[in-house]
Amino acid sequence: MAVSITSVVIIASFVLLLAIVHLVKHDKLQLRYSLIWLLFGVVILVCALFPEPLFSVGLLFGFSIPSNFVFACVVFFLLLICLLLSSIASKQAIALKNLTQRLSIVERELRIVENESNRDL
Amino acid sequence: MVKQNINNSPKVLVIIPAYNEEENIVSTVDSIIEMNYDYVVINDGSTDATRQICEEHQFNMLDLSQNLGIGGAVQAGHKYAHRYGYDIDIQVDGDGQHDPSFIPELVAEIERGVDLVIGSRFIAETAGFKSTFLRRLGIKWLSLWLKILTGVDVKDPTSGFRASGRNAIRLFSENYPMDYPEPDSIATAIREGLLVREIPVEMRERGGGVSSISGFSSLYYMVKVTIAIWIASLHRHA
Repeated sequence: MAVSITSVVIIASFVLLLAIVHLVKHDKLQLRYSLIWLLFGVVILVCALFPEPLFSVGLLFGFSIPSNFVFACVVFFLLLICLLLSSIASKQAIALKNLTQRLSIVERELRIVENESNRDL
Repeated sequence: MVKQNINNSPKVLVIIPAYNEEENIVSTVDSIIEMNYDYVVINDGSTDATRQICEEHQFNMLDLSQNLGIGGAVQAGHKYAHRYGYDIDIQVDGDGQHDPSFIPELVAEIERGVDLVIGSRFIAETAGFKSTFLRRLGIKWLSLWLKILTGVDVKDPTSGFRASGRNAIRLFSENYPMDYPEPDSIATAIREGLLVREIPVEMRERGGGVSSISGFSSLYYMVKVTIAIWIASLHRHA
């Protein structure tokens, strides 16, 4: 019995959405970064349920085979996400750098205070 | 400075998160000092003179090295409260909108056994500042979802004027949302079995400066907060 692509995609997108909600609930994924994935999951689900508009738009963009259009869209989406992730990683690297520098300054001040109080003893 | 516990009164800490509040911070902190409560200002990476002003006035302050947002800043306060053994902590925003004269009532409600008390603008017909029409509409929407998902009726889920007892302090020290913390934390607290109640308070209009939630009336913001409430209301391992 052949399983239609539609049913596979519908099930897969449900699983994706559930996985995302599970990750957010258990603090493995921050809500602010989950939103784009939730949107992606919903868009995929909708396209699986109503594929006609997808085919029409694909033809509009010059794709003769609908699946090529789907692949192109997904690749584009993944490229954007990767770029976004690189930017997030960069922001975190800067924040860590600042924290490290600040920590070193605060620790020095702490050492000075400890030395002074040791001398007074 | 931690004040000693005389009689059997609870140790209360007032958490004052502040982001770019150079115009309001002195009057806000002074009003808390006048009432003789312990307090800690959380400077959330302000780019204006907030930190310098606090240093000049020798205010008790945690100076966050980067801006974390209201969620991260308030959680820093909860961690401070937990670490130094406070029984109750009260969030009072650095912009002066929260009227400290209501603090004793918040404290009294905690002492009656409530874990999280929210100072609500919308319970009784009061004269205080009640925000814009669009914001009130958005608040009603969030209220409705909280009621549907948790069964608890919270009329002012975005109010930051709240008191936390020991159970809530412990919970929030470990687990407090960074985004949209006010409604999200209510759902989480209820889900963890805490008792959450509201009491009526009056709020004042912001004294000066700019609100950090300028996009409240935007649809996008509402969608995000609604999703946050849905997920927070789920039982673990749902």
